[in-house]
Amino acid sequence: MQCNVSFLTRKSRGGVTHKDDVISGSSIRIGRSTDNELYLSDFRTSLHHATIHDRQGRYYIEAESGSDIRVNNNIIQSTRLNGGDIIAVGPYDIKIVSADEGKDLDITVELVRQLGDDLEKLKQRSVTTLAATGFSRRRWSWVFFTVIAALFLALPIAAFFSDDVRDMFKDAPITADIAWKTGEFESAHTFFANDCKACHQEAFTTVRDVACVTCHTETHTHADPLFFELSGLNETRCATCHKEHNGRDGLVRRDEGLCGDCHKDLDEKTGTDLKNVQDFGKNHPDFSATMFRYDAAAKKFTSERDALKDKPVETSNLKFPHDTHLDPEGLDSPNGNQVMVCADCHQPEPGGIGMKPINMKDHCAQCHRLEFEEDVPQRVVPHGNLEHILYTLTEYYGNVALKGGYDDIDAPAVVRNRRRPGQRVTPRERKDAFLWAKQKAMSVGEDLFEDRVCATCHDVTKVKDGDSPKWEIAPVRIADTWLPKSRFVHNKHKTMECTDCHDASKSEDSGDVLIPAIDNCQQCHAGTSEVHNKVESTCVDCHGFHIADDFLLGDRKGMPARNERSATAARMEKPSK
Amino acid sequence: MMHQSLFVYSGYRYLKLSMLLIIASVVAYAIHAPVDGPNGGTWLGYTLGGLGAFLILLLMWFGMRKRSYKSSMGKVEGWLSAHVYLGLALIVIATLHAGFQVGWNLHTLAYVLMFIVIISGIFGVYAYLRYPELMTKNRRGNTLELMMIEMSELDRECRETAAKLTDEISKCILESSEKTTIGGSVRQQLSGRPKHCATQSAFNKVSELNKSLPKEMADDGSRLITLLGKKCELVQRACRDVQYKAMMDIWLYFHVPLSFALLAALIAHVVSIFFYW
Repeated sequence: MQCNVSFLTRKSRGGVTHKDDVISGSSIRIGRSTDNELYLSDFRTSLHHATIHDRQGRYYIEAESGSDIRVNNNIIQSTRLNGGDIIAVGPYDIKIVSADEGKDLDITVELVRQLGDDLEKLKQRSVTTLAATGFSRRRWSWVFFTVIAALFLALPIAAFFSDDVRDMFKDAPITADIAWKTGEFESAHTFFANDCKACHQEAFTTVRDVACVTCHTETHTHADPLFFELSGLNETRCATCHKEHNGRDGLVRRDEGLCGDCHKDLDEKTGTDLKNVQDFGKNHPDFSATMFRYDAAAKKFTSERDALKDKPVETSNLKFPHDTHLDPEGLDSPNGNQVMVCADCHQPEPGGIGMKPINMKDHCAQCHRLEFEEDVPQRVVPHGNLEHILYTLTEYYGNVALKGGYDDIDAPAVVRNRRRPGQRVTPRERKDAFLWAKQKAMSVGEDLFEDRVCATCHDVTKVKDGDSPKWEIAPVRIADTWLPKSRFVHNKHKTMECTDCHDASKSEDSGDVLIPAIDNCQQCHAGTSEVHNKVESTCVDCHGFHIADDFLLGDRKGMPARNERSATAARMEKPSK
Repeated sequence: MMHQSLFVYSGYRYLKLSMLLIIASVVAYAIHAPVDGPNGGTWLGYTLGGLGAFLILLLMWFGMRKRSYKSSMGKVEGWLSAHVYLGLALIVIATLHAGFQVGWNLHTLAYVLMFIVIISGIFGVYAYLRYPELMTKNRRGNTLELMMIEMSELDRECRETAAKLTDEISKCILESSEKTTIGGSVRQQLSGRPKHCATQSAFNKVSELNKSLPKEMADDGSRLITLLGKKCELVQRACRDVQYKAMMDIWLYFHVPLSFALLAALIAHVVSIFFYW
């Protein structure tokens, strides 16, 4: 066969040059190797890439094993050649100009796929900087900034101003503005803690007391704002002392400045007769007990405060010598000799703060039996009401008189004589018997009241003489609190003996006030400065802050007054200096 | 030397300033005993918070300053020195501002973001101290561009040599020149070696194929091995160069975006404090 080959080369300016060649052979091998009839030098062609065969005047192309040829873009192993076919061999295109049967084969060969710039391709393939990977610092900066500003700034503000937004997040695990929370809520506040607006009612404004008073309606102010028109006091917010967002236990100011800032020179500031104080250990005034004294003329108790160091005397109208009862030798009692201790009468209240009240039935009657007839010790008069006592006595002696056989030489015969069974009492005898019984009851009563029983403990006065005399017992008021402005918890002092503070064993008179003076407390308790080895004690350890008698927090700052007291009336009640 | 002047700039001016701020903050924190414990809401808390916020803005302004070549507001060198030292001082100031209180809230988020930004910055300082030297050693006076030019020259030589050899060998050579890449994904850049290096596998295959080469091709075969070996070494160095550069850059991809996250959190933090005053 014979093949006319035209090697085409395109010029950069346009135009084509061609170099013609004539190849002959039994078949025409195509490849990179120089022994090929059609030698194609580019290394992308195989050494032996394909062969064109002449079979009875028809031309066929066949790919060598391991090589690809594309005839008109189809990967084909072998095919018959027709005019116009384009066969791709490596980077070359072989165009069949004419392959007519029995004639010469005319082809053109052109290197159409030039090897590109290796460097450019390498650069294109290689990503050598982080910036080229598509990560953009600028874009991520914007994304982060926007997301955080939206979630933590825009959303909470939107929730504050729009209930719709707030409701959208109502059932979400976190509400829109809870991310602003600065710390745990006090346990009592947790049930509304996810609603920031419950307290933070206005934007860019500190939490106002009105938010607190919504629930805390019964909390008292510190002092009557009408007596003490102090800017420092009346402008103090709840949150000044009660610090929320400080954990489950909450946080209340207890430092020295809490009270001391005002109370260190309160007299100068306000002209009050309250005493100045700053620190328990250094300059706390002496304890003043609230003393109740009986005004016999007015028949009522009045109270006043007296310094304990002056050993004030109380009138409870009860005679009670502590020393006799606490005699270590013991007392004669109906049950024999008995040594008494404090706890026999003074039992703590369930809360452990104070002591249960003392009463006749539980604490005295076991020994102090109200007997009136030596021979009948089981019969006693009732405690508490003189008329009832007289009535009981009259009843008893009336019964005795009618029964007869009572051993009293001054008594009429009907009382003295024993009666036989079935013997009737004449009306005359009955009259005598009752007259005697009444007189007897009166004389026994007088003896009980003035001498034998009642007067042991009480002040008894005979207020009316004659046939139907009258006695009066002065009312008894046993104080349970002498220092009502402070809070003393007995329970916390259990490790002490009662007598460490209450010197009862030497007290001969119930007028003694057995409350110790301040120096007794100062043995263990110091203030907040110069504590040394003592218990650091702040003002609020003993004293309350919300102590104004009549004014509630809701009353101040234009809130509706809870009580009806007018400002004028309040001023009139101002305590005199 | 840039990396030295960063620390000693103007007689350690900013180191001294930072130490002063740290000592003052610590002393104030130690003396101050607020009733509700140390926190951001006390006078010292607000002071430290204000100082911290100012520092954050100042540190972020460094990004503006270094881009503005005309600015006469101090030397960039000084700004960088201040950026590093004041950034470190910020750890102490912000921690004391918070009074060591943390929680699941925006405020701690801002603190954590600040911390990550500072940590990434510390890595940045480390990277700028360590990698330029390694880079210079690794490049041996070349640049990445020159290395790549050399690689494509080697490719051409390999092809010319391989043209005389077997088809399998030229196939390998073709793959080596067409598929070798430098760098790649973030992970590949940071790893310092390509996942599958075409040059390396060509080198291995050609070494194997060489053994069965006819005698007359042996010279060209061993020449090809030498060329491929050179290219392999070049690819490795280029990859390492990319790695060093990536190490010097990667921290900025945390430092910068997170500092903007911090800026947003800081604004939200300040607004929230005064909003719910």
